[in-house]
Formats: sequence, C-alpha cells, structure tokens
Amino acid sequence: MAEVVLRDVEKRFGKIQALRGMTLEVRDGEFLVLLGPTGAGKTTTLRIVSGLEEPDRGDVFIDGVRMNGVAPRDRNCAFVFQNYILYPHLTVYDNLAFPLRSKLWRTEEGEIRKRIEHVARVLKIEHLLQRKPDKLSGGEQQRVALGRAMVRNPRIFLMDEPLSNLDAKLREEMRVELKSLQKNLGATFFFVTHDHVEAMTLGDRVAVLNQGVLQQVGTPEEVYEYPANVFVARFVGNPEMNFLEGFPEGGKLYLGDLALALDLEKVWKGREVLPSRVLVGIRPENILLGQGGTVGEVYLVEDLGADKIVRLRVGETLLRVRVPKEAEFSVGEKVPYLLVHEKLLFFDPITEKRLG
Amino acid sequence: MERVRLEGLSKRFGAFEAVQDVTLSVFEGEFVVFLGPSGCGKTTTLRMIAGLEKPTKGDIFIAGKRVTQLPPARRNIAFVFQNYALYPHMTAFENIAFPLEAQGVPREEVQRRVREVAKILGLEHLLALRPAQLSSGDMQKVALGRAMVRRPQVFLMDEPLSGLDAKLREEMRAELKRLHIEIGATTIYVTHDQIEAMSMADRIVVMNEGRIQQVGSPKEVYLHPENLFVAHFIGSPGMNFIPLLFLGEGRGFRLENGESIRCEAMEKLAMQRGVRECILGIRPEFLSIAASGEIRGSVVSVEPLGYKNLYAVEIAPGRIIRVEDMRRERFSGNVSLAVRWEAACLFDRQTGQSIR
Amino acid sequence: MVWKVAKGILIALALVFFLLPIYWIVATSFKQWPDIFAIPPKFVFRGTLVHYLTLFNIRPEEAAKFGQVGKSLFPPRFLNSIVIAGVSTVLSVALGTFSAYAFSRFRVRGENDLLFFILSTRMLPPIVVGIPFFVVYRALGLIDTHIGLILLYMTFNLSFAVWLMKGFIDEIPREFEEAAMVDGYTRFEAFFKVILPQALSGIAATAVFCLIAAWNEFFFALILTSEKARTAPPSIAAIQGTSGINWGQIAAGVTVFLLPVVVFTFLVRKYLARGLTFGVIKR
Repeated sequence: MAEVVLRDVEKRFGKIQALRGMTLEVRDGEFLVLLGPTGAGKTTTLRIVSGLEEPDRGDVFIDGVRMNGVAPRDRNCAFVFQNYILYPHLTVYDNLAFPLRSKLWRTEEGEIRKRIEHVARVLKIEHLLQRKPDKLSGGEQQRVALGRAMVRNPRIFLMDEPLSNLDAKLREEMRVELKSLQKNLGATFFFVTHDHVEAMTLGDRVAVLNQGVLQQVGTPEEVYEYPANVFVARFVGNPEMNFLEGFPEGGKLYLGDLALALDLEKVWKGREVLPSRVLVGIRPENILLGQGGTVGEVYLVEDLGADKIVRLRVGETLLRVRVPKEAEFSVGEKVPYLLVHEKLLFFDPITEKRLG
Repeated sequence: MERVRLEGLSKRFGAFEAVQDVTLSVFEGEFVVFLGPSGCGKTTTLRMIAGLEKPTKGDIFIAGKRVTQLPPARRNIAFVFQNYALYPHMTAFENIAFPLEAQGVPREEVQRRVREVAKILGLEHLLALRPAQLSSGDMQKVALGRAMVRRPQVFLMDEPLSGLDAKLREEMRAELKRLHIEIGATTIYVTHDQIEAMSMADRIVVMNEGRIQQVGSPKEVYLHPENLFVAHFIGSPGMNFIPLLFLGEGRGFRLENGESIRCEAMEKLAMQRGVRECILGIRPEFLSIAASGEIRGSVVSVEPLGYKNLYAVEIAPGRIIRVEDMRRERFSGNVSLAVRWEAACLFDRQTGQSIR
Repeated sequence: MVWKVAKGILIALALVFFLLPIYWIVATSFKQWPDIFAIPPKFVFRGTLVHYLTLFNIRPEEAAKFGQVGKSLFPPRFLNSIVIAGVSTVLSVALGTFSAYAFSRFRVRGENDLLFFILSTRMLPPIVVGIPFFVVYRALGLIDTHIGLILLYMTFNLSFAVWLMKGFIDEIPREFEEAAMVDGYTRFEAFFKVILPQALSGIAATAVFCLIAAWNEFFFALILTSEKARTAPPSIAAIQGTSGINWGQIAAGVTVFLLPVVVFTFLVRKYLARGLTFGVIKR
C-alpha cells in the first residue's frame, strides 16, 4: 500500500538527458502504466523509484517520505525485470524464498513456507517449486518472477516490460491475469511498456513519456480520445490516427488534402479562435464508408480478423479507415466516405498541442 | 498456372523432424503465407524451396521443372532475409544492381532496370546512399529491390518485417501488400505474426510441429479453423474454447457450470458424428453482453482498446473467455452472454478436430 | 562405416601421441634399474616400488644402492610446492574476482588503460625480470621464503585472473544483483549470494590455469630459492646419485608431481567444461 510521487526529477547519462522535469504521481492501489517508445526514459524512471539510480535533481517520495539517497533495500519496492532474472543455481522455491532470507526481511522458515505456498497457489506454480528455472517455460518463469515480488508484500510493484519476452498468445493471457492479480492484491503497480495496447488494457491510468518529457497522464479513454498532442495521438492507437491539414475560414473548415469544406460550427466546439492553419486528426473508426457525398478510391484492404482496415485514396492522401469485417470492398472501387464531425480533433501545427 | 509445387517434402535434423510430408501448390501471382509459432518448420520449408537446405524426402518443382537437386543460384528465385543482408560497402544502387551484374547484364540495361525498381519502391532519391545511412524501412525496401530487379519466378521472404518497430511494420505491411497488387509477383512469405498473415495473404498455410494444419484464405482460416491449434493461433485474442457435454438431440449441451444450452444445428452435428465431449469455439466478437444470453458469467476485467472494450469473463471456475463489445459503457459483475451460433465452431474434444 | 573406423583410428593415434610420454614416465617409475635402460624398451616388466620408497625416505637403506647420499629432499619440497602454488592460486583468484567485479560493474576512471596495464605485466618474458627480482628480493629478505614465491606467482597470475574473470562476470546480467538489492540485500551480500555461484565455472577455469602456471614454474623457483622454500620442479631436476642421474627416482617424482593437478582438474571438471565454453555459446 503506497503512493509514489516524483517531483521535477532530472537524470542525465553522459550526453543523454534521460529525464527532464518529470513530475508524476502513482496513487495508492492504482495500476499506472508508463508508456513510451524506446529511449523515452521509462526504465530510468522505474530505476529511480527503486533506488537503483539516483536522480540528478528533484525528489522521490514514497508514502510522503523523501527517498533520495535511501538504499534500494530500504525502500520496500519489488522490481520485476524484463528478463525475469531468476537465479539459475536455486530452485523455484529458493528463488521465491530469496527476499525473505535476507538480513532485512529475515523470516522464520515455517512462515516462509506458508507464504510461498500461498503465492504459489495464487500463481498456479505449486507443481514447479522444486524445479530449477532453466526447466521452466517463459510463461512459468514470468510467474515465478512475479511470485518473488509478491512474497514479501512490498509497498509497490515496479514492472519493467515484464510481458515483452512472451509470445503474442501468452502475452494476451498474462495481461488478463496480471490485471486481476493487481485488483485482488489491491496493490500499487507501476508498470512500464512500449506497447500501447498493453498500456490501454492494463492501466487504470496511462502516463505517456517521450524523450524524457511527460506528455500526458490520464485514463486509457482520455489518452485515446483526447490526446494532449500529436505525439500521443500517433503513438496510441492502431492503426495510427489520420492527420490532415485544415484551414478555418469564414465559418468553414477547408481540408485541403481532401478538397472538402465542413461547417466549422459543427466540427469545432471550442471557444477559442482557431489559428489560420490547423492539423486535424481523426481516428480510423471515425470515418464511415458508404455514406456521405464525397468519394475515395479503395487502395488496399487489410483483413485483421475481427475487423478490416481500408486504405482509401482521396487525391494524394491515403486515409486509414476501420470497417467491420462483414464489409466487402475491392481494390480500385470508388466508395463514398464521411468524417464523423464531432470526432475531429484539432492540433496547433507549430506546438503540436491539441486545441480546445 | 502452378508456379511452385511441393511434394511430400520432409526434413529431419538428427532425430528432430523439422518438416513432415508437406504437399502444396502455389499458383502464379499468388501471395502465400506460411504461418506458425517458432520451430514449426515454416522457415525450414522456405529454405528448402530456396535450395539453402536439402530435403530428406520429397520433391520441389518451380515453373514445372524439378529443382530438388539444383543449387539456389539456378532456381531463379529471390530470397529476402529477415536482417536484409545488404552489403554495407555498396550504395543502394549497387546493392540493387548486384544480382544483375552477377548475370552479366549490359550496363545501360542495369541502369534502366534499377531505376525502374527504385521508382516502384519510391527509392529514387536514396540510390546514392549506403545502407548505414538508410532507415530500417528503407533498408528493407532496398533488399526488396534487390530481389525484384532480377524478375525471379518466385519471391521467398523470411519474416522481412520482424526487424522493424511496430508502427513501421504496419506501414510496410500495407506497402508490401499494395506492391503485390501492382506487380502480381508470386510470393511465398514466412511469418509468426498472424496479423501479417491475415492482412497480406491470398492463402495462409498454418504449420505446427512440422506439419501443415490448414491451408485456406484468411477468411476460411479465421472463420472455419480445422482444429483447435489453428483456432487458437489465429486471431488476437484467439478463439474462446468452451467445453461442452452433448446430452442428445433435443436436449442440448451441458456447460461446465452445470447449465445447459441449446443450438439445433450444433446438436445435429454432434449427433451425426456421435461425439459426446465437444468444445465450442467462438471468437470474442461473436459473443455479446446481452440482457438474456445463453451463457452466464462474471466480468474479471475490462480492457479498453479505445474503439471497443475487451472483457474477460469467467464462466466457470478458472474458465475465462474473452468478449468484445463496441459500447462505450463498461459492464461489471454478473453478465450473460449471447452467442452468434452461425459463427460458432464445434470441435471434437478427443481429437481436437473441427466437426463440420 | 568406413568413416567411423577411420575416425576411431585417428583418435587412437592422437591418444598414443599425447599419452606415450606420460606412459613412459609412469612405467619408468615402476621399473627396476636394468629395465630402465633396456633396448628395445620393455613393455612387460616386473614392477617395483623401490623408487617411491626411496623418494619418500621409507626405505632409506635402498637409496644408498643408487648412490644417494643422505635423505631424499623430495617430501619437504613437494609440500612447499603444494603450499606455495595453493596459496598463490587462492589469492590470485580471490583478488582477481573482486577486481574483475569492480571493472565489470562500476565506472572505473581510465578503465581500459588500467586493464591494459594489468595485462602488460604478462608481456615481458620472465627471464628479463629475473635479475631485478633477485636483487629486490635479496634487499627485502624474501629470498628462499614461502611468502616471496607466493607473492611472485600471485602477481604473475593476477593479470590473467582479472581478465578471465571480467569476461565471466560481464556475462552475468547486472540485474542479478540489482534484483537482490531491491529484495533486501546489500551489494556485498548480493555478490556472495548471487554473483559468486554464477561465476563458479569461471572461477574453476581460472583456478586451474593459475594452479598449473604456479605449479610448473621452474625459473624463479630455481633462482629465488635454495633450501627452505624450494619447490618440487627444480629439485626433481636435481635428483642425482653419486653414480649418475637416478632416472627411476626422477620418474617417480614426476609421477607424484603430476597427481595434484590431475586430481584438482578432475574435481572441478564439472564447472570447467562450462567455464571453457562460456561466452562461446550464446545463451
């Protein structure tokens, strides 16, 4: 049970500025996902919270106590590494017992056994306790690594891309298990990933990080529907959001790429006056095919199973459109399309921030 | 017209049967994808077609000619490798021209053909650069160009997109598919990514443990998997499996939670085949949360994907299935699920084969 | 089939080539005096333990027959060898492992230069530094002392140990001790609990190399010791009776001298096989 606060944290490695003015709060009992591309500073953030790295500037608080300079072992965090880091010379049982046998957490062997049995039951690894880690599958190793984090009831779980070494199928299954595990434990999870689907599906809140700068913190829905800037809009969602150049003028919004003019008051609900040029973003599922007055040409159809992605060519622009899998389109076909007016997002082309 | 034919192709490494009795025809202009988990024999099959690996048994025909014993250079094929395999000391132009120079094509002809390929791939402005100066997407295009310039009988591609990051992979996937539509080259493509297979293939060959599991169009493989392996491997998340006990025609099936469900068509099938223990296979999007559905369960977790929610619902102790829902509101607690029976599959629990 | 037979013959030939000298020595140590010089050599002979018995002064009266004056000096010198090689090996492996860990895990200023400097101590042929060592050792009163040879062998092997162990420790992910540090251990505890067990195969390989080098060293043992601290190699070479070289006893001495390294290598072979291929096979 704990909350973590990072305040104005800066970290530099040689010439690389890993974190700039990072301020972030992980609330008690929450599943917070830190999302970003490689090199964004996600792992550095986790390492700073755990004490494996010290910030150059700024403060780290756990439960309101300033942690700067406190050794990792005295912070009572658990760290789950990407490559599991199980000790190959120890059995699964001894790996799980490892934290409890340290001087700091010295626990009596009977109590250790009780706790391990409990954790093993929760994670369904009871039959593996006497094996060595190299005899386990990737998914089993992952569970043991989780178990080692759980045995000593840490204040907070720090997880560094723990699912990324699993294959796609197993990752989906572990996602569900991890989420329900966190809810059942009522524990605080601080989870790092580069996979936006993982972030959306796991997080109570998602924090998006890029080049050491925090871009946005919000619920998965907020981040998806109201991205703070162009980076977040592009990074979250699959396939990517469509971006078009727009020119608001005389009550109309001219979309140059599509040779289209929309009524400005239908698409722009904000109070502020739009600049003379804007970036207009629209998600693939917010373009409807088979309706509307203007036409595009089907350039490509991709069947993803549960739905299809149509690439629609309008002039020189390719629009990504999500359609239900029952819809049939063939390449070269001319299809009318409609942008769902209330779903258009506006971004400042210079600052790339979302307007409104 | 048949372009490539494999007849009873087998490959053994020591005691390990990598590929067993693979028979398949690939037709002119077709895009065939070999799909399967790592170690399923897909890459070995591709390498045998290329002549990089000698089959233990069976024959390979390319354009009607038996090539089983021919070295790779004399099969008139092009191979695109996962890691591009570009020559770092040559410019993009020289890399693309390399196979032509090996054939002794006159200089003007080389110029003409390289420029032609570069134009199709949108590489014209990059021809003077060396691989180290190119982005990974462009490197992949140069590798493709080198394959295309020779106008081979068949293109063999070994996970060509797996070295790219997620966003770029999506883009390249679409470009490759579009390229295939434009030039119509016969292509055999290997991947472990079911989305790549679904979205690009004319036909998918699903492999597991050295054997072909199913051959069919993406739609067939997705909607009518022949066995449990295919059903689980294709789709993200994979198909849900619900164990059923057949009670007899007119009496329906019993679920694990003791309740029974009815579906006349399925009952007829089970009756005809005399199967008692079955598995109902149903994809998440063919289940919906309804006021009075057939299957009851409780929501374990909700995974928002932005445009839809993915639910994990426990329908019997330890039996968690996935349900898709397009509605914005989130359901929790006890729910009931409606099944779209026309899209459901029935499997024999003993053999794992589909009952049709 | 043909290939299998050919392979068998090749392996047999190689074995003969490598094992013949060892066989020769061991056989000689059990031969009676006339058989040692028999031409053609005798492969079947009546064995005797006399060379061993005289070597260890168990039947000193036999020794006189071979022209030996006084007691055999082999037992105390063999003991010297064990003490000096053993202690120097333990020291160089221990120090080497610690410094390798430091080089591997911490940012050491001028790391590459330091590592090169450490290696450079191996670049001189020993004979070049023989005289300086002698002079320095005489000044320090280290001539003919155990500690003198131990220090010397340790110094020579240390560079080797540091380089070898750094390779092994580099292969152990840093997260191993980081996980332990988050889980309640200090870095020092983590080193012993986690890194050391992982590095065992490397330590075994390093120890074998250090032991062999110290055990077989001849030159410095010869010039820096005379009586008290003299090791086995120079003394075996000097086994002589009044009636010429006592080949039987030399052979017995060499055979005994071979044993400890063979036994040690045998004991650690489990770790060694992995240690020698460490880093070659990607895990």
